[in-house]
Amino acid sequence: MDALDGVNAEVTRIFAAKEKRRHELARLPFPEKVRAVIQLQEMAATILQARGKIVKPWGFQQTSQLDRFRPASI
Amino acid sequence: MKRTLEVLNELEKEGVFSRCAIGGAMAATFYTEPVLTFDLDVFILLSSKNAGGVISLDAIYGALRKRGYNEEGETVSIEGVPVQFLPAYNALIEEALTEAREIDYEGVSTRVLRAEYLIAICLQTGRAKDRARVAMLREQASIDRELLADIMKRHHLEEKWTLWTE
Repeated sequence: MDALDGVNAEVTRIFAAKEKRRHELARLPFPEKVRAVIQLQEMAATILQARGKIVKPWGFQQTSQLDRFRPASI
Repeated sequence: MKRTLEVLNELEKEGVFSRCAIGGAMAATFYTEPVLTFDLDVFILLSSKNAGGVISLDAIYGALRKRGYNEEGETVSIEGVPVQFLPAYNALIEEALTEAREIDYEGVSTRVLRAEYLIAICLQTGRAKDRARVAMLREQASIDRELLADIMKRHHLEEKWTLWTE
């Protein structure tokens, strides 16, 4: 990724790493992606419920290859 | 979702609809990074239209009710997954269904719309989220440029493509 106008080298490096991670996620097997979508649903459901919108994540959760993509801070 | 797909296959086998394929955000997710969605969009070719050519999902809802799956708003909850059935409503969708690719989902055979058709459907639908989906597919999916160009030409979407991608 080229350096962006007004953005320093460190931020450019972070953006490049994020882009790389997104492409890695795109290459996951489909069932792994479905599990990721369910994780997203669970995260979003909490936020949406706080706003008064009730949504239901799909029915299952299990550990998977996705764990290696989870940032260490979470 | 595995069981959901099995139920869809059973309905197709029984002739409740003649063909189905995953579309929408979950189909896009097949080609890109995972994106948030709460529904599973399933495009269907109906086995027959009602009198007067009216498209009706009654037969599908009836068959699902018999299995214990009930409507929840615009969707039917099948094994915990809200499925939105979308009957093929124009030539592009019919073609997308015919050309859908066969995939294996944890041992269950299913179909997903091709990325080129997802892009074309997004162009035709034209909402803000369709525009975002096209951008993501262009960035992350492997696109057959010749096929996409052919689809856009035949379905008169070239102008919009230029507008969205310039």
